[in-house]
Amino acid sequence: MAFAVASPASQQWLTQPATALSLIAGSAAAFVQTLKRLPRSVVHTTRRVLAVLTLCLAAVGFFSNSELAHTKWLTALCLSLLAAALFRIDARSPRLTERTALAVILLSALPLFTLAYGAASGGPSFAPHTMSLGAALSLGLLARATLSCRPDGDILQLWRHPSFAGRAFRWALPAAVVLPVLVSLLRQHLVRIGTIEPTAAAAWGTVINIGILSTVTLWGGTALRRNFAELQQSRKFLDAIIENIPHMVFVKDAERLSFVRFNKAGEQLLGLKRDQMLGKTDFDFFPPDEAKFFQDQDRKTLESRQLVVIAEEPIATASGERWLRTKKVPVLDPEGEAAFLLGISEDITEVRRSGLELRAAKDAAEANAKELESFSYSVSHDLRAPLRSIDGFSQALEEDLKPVLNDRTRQYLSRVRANAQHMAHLIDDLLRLSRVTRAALSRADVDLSSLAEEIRAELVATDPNRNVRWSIQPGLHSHADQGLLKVLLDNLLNNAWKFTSKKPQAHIEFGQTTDDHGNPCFFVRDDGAGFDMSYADKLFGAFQRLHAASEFEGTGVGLATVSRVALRHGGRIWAKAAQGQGATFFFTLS
Amino acid sequence: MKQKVILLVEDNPDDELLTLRAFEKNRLVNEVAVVRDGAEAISWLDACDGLPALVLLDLKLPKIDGLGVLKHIRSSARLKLLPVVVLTSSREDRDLVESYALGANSYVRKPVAYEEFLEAARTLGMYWLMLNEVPS
Repeated sequence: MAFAVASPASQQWLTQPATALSLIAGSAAAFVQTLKRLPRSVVHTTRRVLAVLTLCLAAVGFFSNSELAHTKWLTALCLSLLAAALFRIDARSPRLTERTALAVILLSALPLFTLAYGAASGGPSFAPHTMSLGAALSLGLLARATLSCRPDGDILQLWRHPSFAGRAFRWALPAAVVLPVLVSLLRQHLVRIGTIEPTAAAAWGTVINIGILSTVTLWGGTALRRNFAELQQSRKFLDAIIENIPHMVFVKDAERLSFVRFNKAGEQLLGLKRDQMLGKTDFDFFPPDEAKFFQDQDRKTLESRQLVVIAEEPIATASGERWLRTKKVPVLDPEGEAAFLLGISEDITEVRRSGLELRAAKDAAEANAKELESFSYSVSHDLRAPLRSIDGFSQALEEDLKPVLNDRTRQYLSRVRANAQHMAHLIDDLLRLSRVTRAALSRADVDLSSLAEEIRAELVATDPNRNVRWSIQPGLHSHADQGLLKVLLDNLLNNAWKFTSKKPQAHIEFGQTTDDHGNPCFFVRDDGAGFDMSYADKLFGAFQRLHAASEFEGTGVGLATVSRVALRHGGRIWAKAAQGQGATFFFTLS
Repeated sequence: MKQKVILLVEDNPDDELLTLRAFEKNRLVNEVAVVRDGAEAISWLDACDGLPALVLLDLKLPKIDGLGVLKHIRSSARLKLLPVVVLTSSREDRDLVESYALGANSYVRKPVAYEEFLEAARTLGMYWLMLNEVPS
């Protein structure tokens, strides 16, 4: 802002008082707008008042007839424009403010150029009919300040834009301003010093200016075209994504819930082309109650502004009934209002069918298990009865035929009985094995040491005369199924007892140790008959025996049962032995 | 003293024969009445004049099964104090539990080995017929 007092020497700087006051008012208006601390209403009112004041003072100056105080028409015009710009500075659209401010900047540059050209051509350096330099500079600066009050205007937005468009503009605008000025100045100068004829100079100047303008326009156009191409590519990319999503994707507008977007998967699913769908609503395609359901879900999604999932819904399509899992998402506009509804539907018909099949299979399996349960129950009754008869009547025969029997015939009868016994044991063991396989596993803290002690007591009671040294490690615990563990230890300790029965003095151990990898495991060791390690892989198969029945009786199911228990706990069992030197069975329960 | 009658409820003729033989071998000379199914057992008990000293009850019976007979015995005012020994080949826990729940006095599993069966019969006989007291 300049308020220069008139002085003959600086005539060109002379600004009329009305103009000066007007400029001050305008600047104040612009300044007030920047005060953030004041309440908006105060700011707006003050600014508007000042803007009106600016206009009035300009008018006063213009209409004043005094030779000294008359405001030039151009100055008055610029001030009026600025007043308008300042008045409407808070308008929704920045266009008025921006355009008028730009106009004022241009117009206020007029005296500067005139001065420059005048100097270049050696002619009069001041054109008093335009405006004073002081006014010109002030107007230019004030207009620039006004422009800054609306940073959302096109020109500032473009200037500050990070994209290629911004970069191009930051080159193009200065070029568009500076180059023509330089060209004109050069032209004036060359004409003045006589290097070139005025008409030729004018022609050259025109050509160069055209060249500059065209280049700048081309720049701008190219930037636009590139942006457009990028935009197109972006859009094509997004389109491709939506088209290739293997689920049905659709978009409805929030108002009418009519389709605005529909992808290929959707077309395939419903058997409808998107041209048939766009613009129409659910009611045009589905039965009324289905359509109403869909729209209710849509409304719910839009109102709650949250994802809504419809876990499964049947839908009638061209290829029969399909089941869909649909997710509806509201799409909000920048103000947070729901503008669109995005829907993604997955065809879960197959998944659902396999789910149903799975459930049916599971039910069948459970039914099977129940059937097996009752089957085993019957077995425990019905198979034993005939065995009892076989054994009983064989003995009866033996007793009643005593005088008639000889050693051989007596032996036949005892074989019959022995076989009946053996079969009874087999039934028991098989039943136990099946129970172990089927029973539900319920883990709890099991005191293995006391369990082993119990079994020891039972075994000793069967034959107190046997000389067996027991080493049961105290305090052994495991998180396992009590019942199954009893079966396991029963089997292993019974085996140890059995296979040491031929030794006058035996040693049976139960404890905890580590395996070859250093992981903890339990073990049962005896120093009895042992077995040949080369048959170790047969050890845990059902009905597999490594000893003759004449040596040690057994069904061959015991170790299979033990192995099953260990496996069910997620553990494993293995053995190390040597013929005649005893055996060690290691097991883990997890 | 009135002869103590044993009621044997057993559907299997082989088991019946073996049981009777076992009693004989153990010199248990009591009269043994045999009925073949649950319904027969109930009607025998309802009709009998005076109570048996012991009921040996199998569980798997045609028509009405052992537990049904037991239920009847325990719910009848006249019969409910009768000593009942369940003598069965079932090893199922639920039979055991159910029998005791319904009020059986004892549960004995019929062993397959006859010798053990003989021993069981002897023990049963000794206990229930000689040692055990019942209200008259």
